[in-house]
Amino acid sequence: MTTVKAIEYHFPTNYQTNDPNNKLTKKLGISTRYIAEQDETASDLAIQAAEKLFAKGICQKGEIDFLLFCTQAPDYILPTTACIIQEKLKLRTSCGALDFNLGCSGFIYGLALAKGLIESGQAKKVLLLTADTYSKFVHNQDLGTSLLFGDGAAATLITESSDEGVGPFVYGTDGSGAKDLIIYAGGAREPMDSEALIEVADEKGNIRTRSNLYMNGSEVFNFAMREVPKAIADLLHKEQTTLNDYDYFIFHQANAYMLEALRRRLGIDKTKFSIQLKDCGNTVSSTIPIALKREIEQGNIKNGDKVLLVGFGVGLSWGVCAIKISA
Amino acid sequence: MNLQQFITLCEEILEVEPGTLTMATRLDSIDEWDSLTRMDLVSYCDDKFNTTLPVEIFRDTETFQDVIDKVKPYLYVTAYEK
Repeated sequence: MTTVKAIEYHFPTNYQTNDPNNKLTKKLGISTRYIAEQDETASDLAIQAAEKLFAKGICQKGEIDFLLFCTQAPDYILPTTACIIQEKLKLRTSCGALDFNLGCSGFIYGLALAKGLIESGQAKKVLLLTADTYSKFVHNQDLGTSLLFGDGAAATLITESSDEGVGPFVYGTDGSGAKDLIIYAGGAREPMDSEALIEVADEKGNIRTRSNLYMNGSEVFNFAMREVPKAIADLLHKEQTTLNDYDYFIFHQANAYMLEALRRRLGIDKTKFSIQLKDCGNTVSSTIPIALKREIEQGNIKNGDKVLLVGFGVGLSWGVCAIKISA
Repeated sequence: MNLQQFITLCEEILEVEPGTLTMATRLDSIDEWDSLTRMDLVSYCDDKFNTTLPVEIFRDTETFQDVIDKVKPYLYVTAYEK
């Protein structure tokens, strides 16, 4: 069986402040967002988070059997960034390593992959690193994205255990919504060229290029409202539980307004519902581990608690799982 | 969803006193009226009344009358309403 053993996270030093007098800023619940340096990549942040985790002495670097790296900002097209991280962290060469490209649902999928590796006897200790630097993709004159995203990374240690601490899972994918959260240029479908750098204003006055992040906010909002309650219902059915059986709820920290709308719709008690984004914004795949770590530190989640985790976003992709907290 | 249900829903979401929304109400006079609230309104109609509206339906609206005009094709009319 599998358990989440430890979490650490790391932010860049630089930060940007959202205009406190802007009405939207208040509703989004995000005051500041950390921004990576020009020469600081997602893997750099991930390595810092991992080093913090090893410094705690819970696990030696040599004990890691598998490294999973979730990012949408790899260092290179190739090689795999996880291989570069293995070398920089000085993990042993008999350790498996791979990248996977998911965003806001990435942590849930990372837990699932780790559980699969552990429970099929392929690994005992898995290091899941989640890191993203959306600030490098966002145009600062696009209010649809620039107020939301912050850079950050988390390192999560997942290990074999005698108690069941991870799962079950419910997954969801809807590629018809790929166009609602996308960077058009820079991949193989639309290679980077001079046209990809031309700034265009949309009908709302937001400015973007083809190589910037585009988000159709209302479509994404509606997707979350439509799919998240259904996916949670599926998990409850799978587990034969009700919402009352969970001590705490950690959803992907998209923005406070969307989280509040979801919370109301599902009828979840405010005191059991994590909102942890005021200082760091939406850090994509790291929002859930950051929030989880903070809720534990603040004493809101205790040993033995059953926590429901929900990731949803770019892909469109979503995932729900239950975890049990053990020291 | 009928007209009265929709108006009541708007009053709840926009956090205004019941009965204060008139057809002449200018939306820019309501603090709560912004892009996030417009999204919320669409998803509430779906959730509460199974009425699926286009996501950007309320984008170019100035008065509450404009909002009602946009939503009208999606309302069912009870036998006693005009």
